[in-house]
Amino acid sequence: MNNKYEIVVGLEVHAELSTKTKIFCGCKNEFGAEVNTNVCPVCMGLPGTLPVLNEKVVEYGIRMGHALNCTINRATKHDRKNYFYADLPKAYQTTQDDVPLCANGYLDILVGDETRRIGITRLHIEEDTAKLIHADEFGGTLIDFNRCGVPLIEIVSEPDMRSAEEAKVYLETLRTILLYLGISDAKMQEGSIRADVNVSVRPVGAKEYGVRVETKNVSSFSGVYNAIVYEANRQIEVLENGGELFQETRRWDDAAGKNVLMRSKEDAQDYRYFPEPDLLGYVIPEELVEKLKAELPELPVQKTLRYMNECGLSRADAETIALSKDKAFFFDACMATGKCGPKLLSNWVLGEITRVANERRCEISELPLTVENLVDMIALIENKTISNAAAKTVFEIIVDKDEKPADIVKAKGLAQISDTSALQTIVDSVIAANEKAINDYKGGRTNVLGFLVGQCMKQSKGQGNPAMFKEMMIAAIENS
Amino acid sequence: MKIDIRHIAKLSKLSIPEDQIERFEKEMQSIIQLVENLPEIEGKATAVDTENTMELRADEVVASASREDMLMNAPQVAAGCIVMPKVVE
Repeated sequence: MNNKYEIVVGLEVHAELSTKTKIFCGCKNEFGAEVNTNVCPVCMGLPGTLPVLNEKVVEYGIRMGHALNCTINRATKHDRKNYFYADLPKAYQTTQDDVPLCANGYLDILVGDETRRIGITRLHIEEDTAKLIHADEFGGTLIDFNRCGVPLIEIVSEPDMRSAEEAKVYLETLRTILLYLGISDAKMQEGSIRADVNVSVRPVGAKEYGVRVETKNVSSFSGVYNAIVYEANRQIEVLENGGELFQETRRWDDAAGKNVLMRSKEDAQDYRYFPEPDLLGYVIPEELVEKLKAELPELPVQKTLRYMNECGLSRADAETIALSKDKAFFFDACMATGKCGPKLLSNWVLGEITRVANERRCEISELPLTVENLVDMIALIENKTISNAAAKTVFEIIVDKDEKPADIVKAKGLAQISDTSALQTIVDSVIAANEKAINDYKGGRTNVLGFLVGQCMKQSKGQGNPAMFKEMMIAAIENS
Repeated sequence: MKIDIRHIAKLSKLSIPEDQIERFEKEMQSIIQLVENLPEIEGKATAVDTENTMELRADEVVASASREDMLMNAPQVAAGCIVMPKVVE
């Protein structure tokens, strides 16, 4: 990237809401249903039908608005956005134009070691379009209307991002918030989040924005990153060659890793917005707005900061836990018992527990493992009753069965031996059996110590305290 | 007010012969004059009318229509979908 230029990025993010039904009719809102089975005269735009707004869509929109620190417009309305394309059977999209549900907010994101505040211009609710399936064998385009009328929120940011990395973090943070709020499946691979990316470049230090180019059809985190890098480089190259940039819309081709011109400003759509005559305005009760605000959970960025500042976790560990609702809820539930410390707990959550959940392709919350058994086990490690090695044996059991770790330790004889005389007997026998290693150690090859301690652990069947073994082994060799 | 017939034709995907443009310009000019004579709406046209509001709907599933019925009027159907001429935008 040419460092004479600064990149300016703004994002328009569409997220499908996970309501039971569509926005304006009672058809099911579900992904992957048999084509054209969740359809009715309303969502297929037949003449004479009337839309009725789903209250849950408004509620979900307000939740997200609160999470993004927006002002909620309690008196709001809908508008028609006219365009002629086969994915929209009415030839207009029912959306919101001049009075969006939420406006003027911000989202703090963590980029590197910095907290960056990204302005949120607006958030509005609207309907999704039908899905066009381009199939050559039918000699045309097929239309599946199941997605038509699925509720969407569109979140428009200010041009506040200054790199592709920032835009990627912004999108990841938005996605995690949607999951925390439980208002969207937020699966990019199923198209439930899609982004349009606005990019311009300007010489470093310039006050005026450069010419803005919109890239449509970006549907993955890496796609957002690559689309911004590609477009910024394209613009810089044009400027460096003395060329001129034009306000235009381009389409991202993820497979090819490049964008292509879709339409220039002269061909810009004229959407002819006007107030939707089929829907009246509505007023959202203040109590509802306040209730939804009070119900807002702790959000991922706040969690990351709390894990770092109050629990002493590293930035990387704190973020890995906070960016996953599943990990964070489990971690918080364990911490709430007050029975174990955060450090070892985070190691287990990010290590063994995540490994098992990944292997079984499930969430941590779906494992038979209980919070109580895990924290009891960690407490046993922390008070040195069991070693890490013995804890693995306990974990293999409690991950599937609700058995008390203390009982398992007793039944299997896993308690750590810290009795010096018992340990000394083992150290002595290991020394007797490994003359060569002892001589190597004395000759300066101190790295055989690990092998010798390992032999002690083996003889003690994992019950010895490895730190004590190490100390006693060094003392024994040096005194021999 | 100048009316750009070529631009409007492009947006509406209509092909208008060059020798017809002047005629359409005149005709649309008179339509606009007609509308311009309508009385101005009082107040802000975009303001929400809070006196006359709508009820929202509970998020409850209502049985969808049968696919067979919904596709009955389509000129061509394949694999449970309406078929239309190939488009890529």
